[in-house]
Amino acid sequence: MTSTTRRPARLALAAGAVLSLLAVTAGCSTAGSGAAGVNGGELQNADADKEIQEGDRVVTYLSQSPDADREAIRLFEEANPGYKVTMYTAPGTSYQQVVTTQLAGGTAPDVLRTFPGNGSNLAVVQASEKGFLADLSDLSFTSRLSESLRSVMVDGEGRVVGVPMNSSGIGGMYNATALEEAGLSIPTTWSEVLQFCADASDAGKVAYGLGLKDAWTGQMVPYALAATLVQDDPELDAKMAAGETSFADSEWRDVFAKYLEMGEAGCFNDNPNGTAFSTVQDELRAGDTLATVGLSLTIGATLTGAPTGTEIEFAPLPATDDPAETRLSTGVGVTLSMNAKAADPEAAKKFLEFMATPQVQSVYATASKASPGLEVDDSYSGTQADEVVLAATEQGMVAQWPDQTWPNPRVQQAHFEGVQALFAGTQTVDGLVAELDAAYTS
Amino acid sequence: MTTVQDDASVVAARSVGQPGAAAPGPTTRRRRSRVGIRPPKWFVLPALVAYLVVVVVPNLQGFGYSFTTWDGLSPEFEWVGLDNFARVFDDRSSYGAMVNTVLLTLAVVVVQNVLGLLLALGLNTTVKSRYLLRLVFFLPVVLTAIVTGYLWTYLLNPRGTVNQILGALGLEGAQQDWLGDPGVSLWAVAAAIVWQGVGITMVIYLAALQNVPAELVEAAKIDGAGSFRRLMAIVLPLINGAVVINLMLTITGTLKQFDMVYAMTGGGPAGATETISTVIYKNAFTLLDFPLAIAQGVLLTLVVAVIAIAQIRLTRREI
Repeated sequence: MTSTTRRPARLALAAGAVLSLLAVTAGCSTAGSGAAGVNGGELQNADADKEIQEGDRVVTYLSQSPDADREAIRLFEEANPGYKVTMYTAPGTSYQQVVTTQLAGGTAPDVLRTFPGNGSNLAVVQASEKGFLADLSDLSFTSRLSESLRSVMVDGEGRVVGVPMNSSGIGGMYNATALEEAGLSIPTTWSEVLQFCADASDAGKVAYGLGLKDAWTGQMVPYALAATLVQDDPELDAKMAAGETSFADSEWRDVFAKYLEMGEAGCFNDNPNGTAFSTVQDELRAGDTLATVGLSLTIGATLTGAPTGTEIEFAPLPATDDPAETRLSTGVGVTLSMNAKAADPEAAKKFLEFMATPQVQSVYATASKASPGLEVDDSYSGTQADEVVLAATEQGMVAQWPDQTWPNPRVQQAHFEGVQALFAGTQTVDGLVAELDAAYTS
Repeated sequence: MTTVQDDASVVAARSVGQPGAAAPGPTTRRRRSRVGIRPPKWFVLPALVAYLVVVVVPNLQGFGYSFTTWDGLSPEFEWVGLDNFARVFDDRSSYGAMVNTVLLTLAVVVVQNVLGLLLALGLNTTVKSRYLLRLVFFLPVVLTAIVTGYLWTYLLNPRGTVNQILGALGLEGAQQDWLGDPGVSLWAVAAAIVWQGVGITMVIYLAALQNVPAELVEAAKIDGAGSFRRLMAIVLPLINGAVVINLMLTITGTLKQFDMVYAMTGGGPAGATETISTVIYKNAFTLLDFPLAIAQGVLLTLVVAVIAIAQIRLTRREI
């Protein structure tokens, strides 16, 4: 073969190589802009086998409660032929980072879980400010939002960007079976809490499991105590925002002092900083740990895999010696929002509207073993934890989770690290509240 | 980690060409040039374009963005000069992460190289199980860092295997909250990194040791040199190239360490194991402070680049 005959072949090869490369890069960009890009991160397609017909309108949905969502999705698809919802899941421990990465990269699912109010990077105010979330104000469910619900579902410009799917309280989750075996009862005053810890220790049990290796769990006890000690002042948020008070100048000091007091009283397991939350759940299921302070909506997940007959009872964590003063820390749990870059915005909105209906709210609350976010239909029957949340709400003895009004995610981050440092003995209460104030004003 | 291993494989192959190795003669080179495949130079084009698109352009973009207020999403941003870099030096978490990264790097470099060399020396003998042992020590290298991290998290749990073994040996006093005690956790992470990386370090040393002329060592022995003297005066100078390569690979690999730390501690407790890479990740994706994160990333890239260039220069001189 002469060089003359080889030249066209070389050119053809070169053209082929360049075209292949362009095809690959084009494929990448297509994947990045559509639902297929969802697979690019750590998300897993939980509906890989779902049959999608040509012409179907597909909504990609990032679920954190697949069991609860599956029934809601079935109802939606049944009521709306031609619409399909493909469900993805993300690991719980790194949910915020994974989803924020996907949102920033433009590859997040159409519908995803956010958090109410402000204070974390996936809270509706923060996420909407970054342009991640779509405006849902034109959906009909917004007219059914109470004033308090609306306040944590809107962004900085007052646009509704979230659908409340359930609500939850933060309090003690007690293994009632193990409690009965140990002959102990749920404490209703602060002194009883300390006595409960001593009695549990005498019985060879851990009173309250604490898994600070998963840093987010560190906020549970402070929030539960703050509901009674700090948030009895309805003007507190406004005062803090105006600089009239601060963490250092408020009862937050008492909150962290009592947190440490619980530690010194032997309320928690050894080495909380090295203990994972999953370990705490295992121990609680097994009855080696009698209780933990956490979200009532996690009771269902905690019971999964527990010995048959195990019951978990939910109660507010007292912070004073007057039971009448005890308030319950509550807030919207799962909030759903629409990605501003949703591939089919109309279909995504239709799905969200459906999720806000009383029928789905009932199904979702029942399946997630949490209190409902909006009104429910007759099919709903509440759990013991729901009754506690409802009773506290009716008595006006509730306080919203404090981070929902914190102005930026740095406060929450400082809180997580500060609590770990407190239990490592490398931080004092004074130092911690100073760090929180610095983060608040940063 | 992949980069380190890939680099290491190349390096291990190159180490064979040290003193004592049979260098390819001129005849071999001539034969290769006559009968070998001579692909056209433009065959490099697809790979070059892919490299430019995936590596060079994003790095240059990142460098450019480090002087702006770009928030990772919005197309609008402002030029702020060196403000982001000034913030890096004002940021306390950056200082803590820098100190941790340096300490982690020092620990990993020293321990991994000493252990790797000792293993290589031990397995460069005629002991019968040497091939099996080489395989065993190399096995962790093929695991991903995330898997290794989670594995060690399980082992180092307060009630995990390590503490159980210590308890069974009657060493209760040595039991620790390995990943929960800020005074211990960084070293626990370092131990896991060394466990995974020591195999590749061993292989590089082993490749170099197998090319040390036996007659030189024998002559030194006849002259009365003891084991330690032979190691210091004969062996180490002859495997100097491998030493340089291993040092640089462990330094650059640990300076940019992220996955193992993230899997084991997430940077905790209370920032005790935060490295520059985990701080960059948190600033970008937890706090959404992209300008600060990008500036930190650029600085890390520059530090690693300087060390990588030093590696190339030293390697060229020594091998």
